Amino acid sequence: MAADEPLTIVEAGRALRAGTTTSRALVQAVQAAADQWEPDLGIFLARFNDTALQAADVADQELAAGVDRGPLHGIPLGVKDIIATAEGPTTAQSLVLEPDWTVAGQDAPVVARLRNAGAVIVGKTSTNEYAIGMPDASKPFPIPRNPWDRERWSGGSSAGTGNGMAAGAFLGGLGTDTGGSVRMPAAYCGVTGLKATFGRVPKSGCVPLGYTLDGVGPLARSAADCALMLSVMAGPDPEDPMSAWQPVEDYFSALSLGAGDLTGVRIGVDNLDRFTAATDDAWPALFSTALDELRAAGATIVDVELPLFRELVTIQSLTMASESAAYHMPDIQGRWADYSVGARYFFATGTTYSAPDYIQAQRVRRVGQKTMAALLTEVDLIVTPTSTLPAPLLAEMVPRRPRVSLSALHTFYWSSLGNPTMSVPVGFTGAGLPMAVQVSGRPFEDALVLRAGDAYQRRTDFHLARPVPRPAAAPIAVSA
Amino acid sequence: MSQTPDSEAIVSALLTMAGLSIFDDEKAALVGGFAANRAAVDALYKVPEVRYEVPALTWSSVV
Repeated sequence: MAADEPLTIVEAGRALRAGTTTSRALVQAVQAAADQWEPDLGIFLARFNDTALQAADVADQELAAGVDRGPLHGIPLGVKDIIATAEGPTTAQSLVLEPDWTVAGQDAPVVARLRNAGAVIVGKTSTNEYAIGMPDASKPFPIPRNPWDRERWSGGSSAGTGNGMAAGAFLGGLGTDTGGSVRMPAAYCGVTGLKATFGRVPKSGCVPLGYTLDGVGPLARSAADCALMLSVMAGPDPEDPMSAWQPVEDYFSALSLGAGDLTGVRIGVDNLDRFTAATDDAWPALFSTALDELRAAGATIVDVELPLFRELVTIQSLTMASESAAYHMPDIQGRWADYSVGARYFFATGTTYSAPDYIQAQRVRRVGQKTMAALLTEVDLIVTPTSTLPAPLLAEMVPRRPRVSLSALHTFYWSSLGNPTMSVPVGFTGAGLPMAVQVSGRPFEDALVLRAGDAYQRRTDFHLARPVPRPAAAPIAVSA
Repeated sequence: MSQTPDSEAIVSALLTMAGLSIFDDEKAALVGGFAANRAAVDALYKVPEVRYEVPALTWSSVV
C-alpha cells in the first residue's frame, strides 16, 4: 500500500467522506500491496480482484448519490477461508472438505452483514487446514510467512488475515479464534485482533473446529477499527444456536467515553511467568512499559493471579480435540493421508479422551467461569501476555508437538472461559519482531476491552508500524 | 514425565476403537505424549470445587 493511502478503516472512512479518496482507489491500493508481497507471503487462497473493483465502484456511486451505509462503506476486507463468501468456494485449506458443505454462492451471516454495511470483499485468506495444525509443505496450499521476517510463521490459524493486514492487503479482515487463532497472528504480525465474547458473533457459515470455543473475530490495525467491525458483525443468528441475544452496542461510540481516559478502570495484571517456558529478552521491558502507558491513561494497575490456569489450558485442548475429532469422523478414518500432518495429528489426539473426560472438562470449565467472574468483581479488565516469544521460525516448528512450538503462547486460557480478549501490539524485539499483550474483560463487556486498547493506542503507534516489502526470498524449509 | 508401560497398548487400543490407521511416527508421537496428557486430564478430576458443579453445556428441548 502506498504511504499516502489511509492505513486504518477510521482514516479511510474520513477520506472517503471528505472526497480525498474513493473506494476504487482504496481497493486498487490494497491490491497493489498484495501484488508486492504475493505469492511470497502466502496471504490469499483466492483473490476477487474484478468483483472487488465492481463493488468498490458501486460503493462510490452510492456515496456520490448520498447513500452512506456507515463506517465500513467502501472499505476493503479479507475473509479467512473457512468462512463462506458468495464469490467462490470455501476450502478450509483442505483436500477433504466437500464443496457442498454450504450453499454455493451464499455468504455466511457475518460476511453478509459486512457486505450490507458496504464493505468490499477482496479475497479469501490462508489458514491452517480446518483452522488447526501448522503449515504443511506437502499439501498444495501456500505457506503463510511473516512480513517482519519471512523465515517465520505469520501465526495461525487466521494466518493470511494476520499477515495480509500487516502487509496492507486489506484494511480489515475476518479471522476465527478457537484457541488463539485471531490473537496469535495479530500478535506475531503486529496488528490488533479481537476474540469477542463467545457467541457475540454468529459462526454459522463457518467451518467448525470446536463448537463450544469457535468465534469469528476482526483483525485490523487498531482497536477502533475492530470496534467498527464488531458493531456490524455482532448479533444473533438462528442458524447458530450458540449465538447470543444480548443487545449489540455501538462499540465505536463506546470508545469516546473518556476519549482515551481510563480513570476509574481497575486493571489486573498477571505476567504468567510461572507458566512461561521461554521469554524474549525484550519482553519484560515491553510488558512493563505497556502497563505504564495504561497507568498513565488513568487506569489503576494491580497484580492478580489467574485461577485454574493449567486446568483451563488443558480444557481448551481437550475440548477442541474432542469436538473436532467428532466432526471429522469418518473422514479421518478413510482419508488420513489427505489431511495435513498437524490437523490429523490433533484430531487423532481427540480420540484418546473419554466421554467422562469431556464432561469433566466442561464441569471444571464452569468452575473456572465462576472463579473468573469473582475475580472480575475486583478488577474491570485483566492484562496478560499474548506470547512472551515472537513468531517462531518455520523450520523449527514441529507439527506433532504444536504446544511445544507455541510454548510461550498464552491465548488458550481465555478461550476456555469465553471472555472477550483482544491482542494489542506493544513493541518489537531486538530483532524487530512484533510483541503483544492481551486485554480481557467480563462477558459482553467487549466495549470496555476495546476502550482500553484504544486508550493505549492513542498514546502509542506500534499498531501503525508497517513491514517493508523485499524481493522474493529463496524457498525456506518447513517441517512436514 | 516418565512413560507408563501401558501407554503404547492404551493408545493402540484407542486408535483401533476409533478406526484410525495412522503412520508409525505419528503413533509414536501420540504414545510419547500420552502419559503427560493423561496426567493433565486426571488433574481435572481433582479440582475440589467441581464436586457438585454442572457442566458448562446447555441443552434445550426446542430446536
